[in-house]
Amino acid sequence: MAFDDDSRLARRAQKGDRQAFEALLDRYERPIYSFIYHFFQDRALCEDLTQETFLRAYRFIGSFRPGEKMSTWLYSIAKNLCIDELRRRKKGTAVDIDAVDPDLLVAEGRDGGNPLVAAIDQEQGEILRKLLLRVPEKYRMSIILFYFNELSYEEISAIMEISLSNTKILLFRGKRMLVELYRKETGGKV
Amino acid sequence: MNGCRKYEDLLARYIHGQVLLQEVEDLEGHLAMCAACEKLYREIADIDRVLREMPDKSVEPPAHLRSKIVANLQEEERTPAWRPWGKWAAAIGAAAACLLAGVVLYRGAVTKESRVAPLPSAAPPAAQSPQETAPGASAKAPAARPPLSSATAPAPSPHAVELRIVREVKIYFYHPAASKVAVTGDFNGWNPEGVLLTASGEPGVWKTTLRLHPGAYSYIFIVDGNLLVPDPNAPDQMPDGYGGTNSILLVKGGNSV
Repeated sequence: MAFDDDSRLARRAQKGDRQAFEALLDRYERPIYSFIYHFFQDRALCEDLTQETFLRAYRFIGSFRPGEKMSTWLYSIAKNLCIDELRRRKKGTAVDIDAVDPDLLVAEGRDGGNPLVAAIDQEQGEILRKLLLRVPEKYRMSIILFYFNELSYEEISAIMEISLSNTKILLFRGKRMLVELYRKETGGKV
Repeated sequence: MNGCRKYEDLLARYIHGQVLLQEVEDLEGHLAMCAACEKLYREIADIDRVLREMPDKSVEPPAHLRSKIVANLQEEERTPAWRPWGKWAAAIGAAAACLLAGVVLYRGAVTKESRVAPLPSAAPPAAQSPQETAPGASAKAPAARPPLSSATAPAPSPHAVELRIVREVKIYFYHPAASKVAVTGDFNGWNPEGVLLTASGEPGVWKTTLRLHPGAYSYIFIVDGNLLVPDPNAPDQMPDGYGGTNSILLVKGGNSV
């Protein structure tokens, strides 16, 4: 089982076995890179933060607890680095990851607006991807972890350090924000 | 939509498949009546489908990234940038007092007991007498010294005055998933609340400062109020007698640490 393998590799890495850590790197480089990439959609930054994630994991491998899930632990490090990066960008302005643009939460019924069409095409996906960047970070992270990294609610709740029901609320609100942004972007049309 | 707020939570759970049967009836009844909510529901369901079927979810990292990361690890092994503990601490480290700890200078460290802030509770082993060596540890018994500033010290009575060294021990603990971390040990009589650590500013890193007399202390971290975590990087560990493990923190006497 991958989970057991991870624990075994982690134990070896904790004893200073770099090869074991590199095996973990091989396993998690792509998912961590994908997560950070979707969050910022900036390849250079994504490379830097992926490097930093694994460097920190290596430095602090000693604090990885037996029984903990390696993926959860790595995503937590990456999440913290992403939030840190946002703080740096906002220069001294505290990032309130709970902050929500109130406009995005007012879902008004608009007469005449067409419902989004389910047909999936590249263009629609690309629009959503761009709009995702405008969704507040906590919601954006949950959406990425759920839809792109395809993690379970349980794992997302562990990474985001919130309850399971709050995880679902977060995902729902994130999508609701996307709906509102999509309406504005497309003038209510698809 | 104003009366619809109560349906938000319900709708969220409905979409994510966690509603009670009677809630479904309530919500579906509402959706049948309320065009705005019904429209929102359909749109969110559409977004859900688009997100699920989005291409390129998993993004291939550039080929050179792995070798960059491995080079970082090799560099880190040669010159650990920020690791005041771990195997390096063990190596450098009879010097270091510990754990994740840097021991920092408390100038004017030698002082009278009456001027030392009281320890949280039970006196640590070495506090019994400056001449006593802490059990099982290589702690040096601190030499009694005159106060650094005799001007500020009240006139000593030869019987009442005990000279003590107090050291500030910085404790760091890395745990990104924790929402609360405390440290407890024989320095505070194994108080179940422990001494709380605060966020250090480094993501996931918790810290606190303990003021301890020289000696050897057993300690353990309490994560989120109930999980006991020995310090995996402490150079010394010992069984706690209950099937678990405690870490050992060594606070040296003398002036240099």
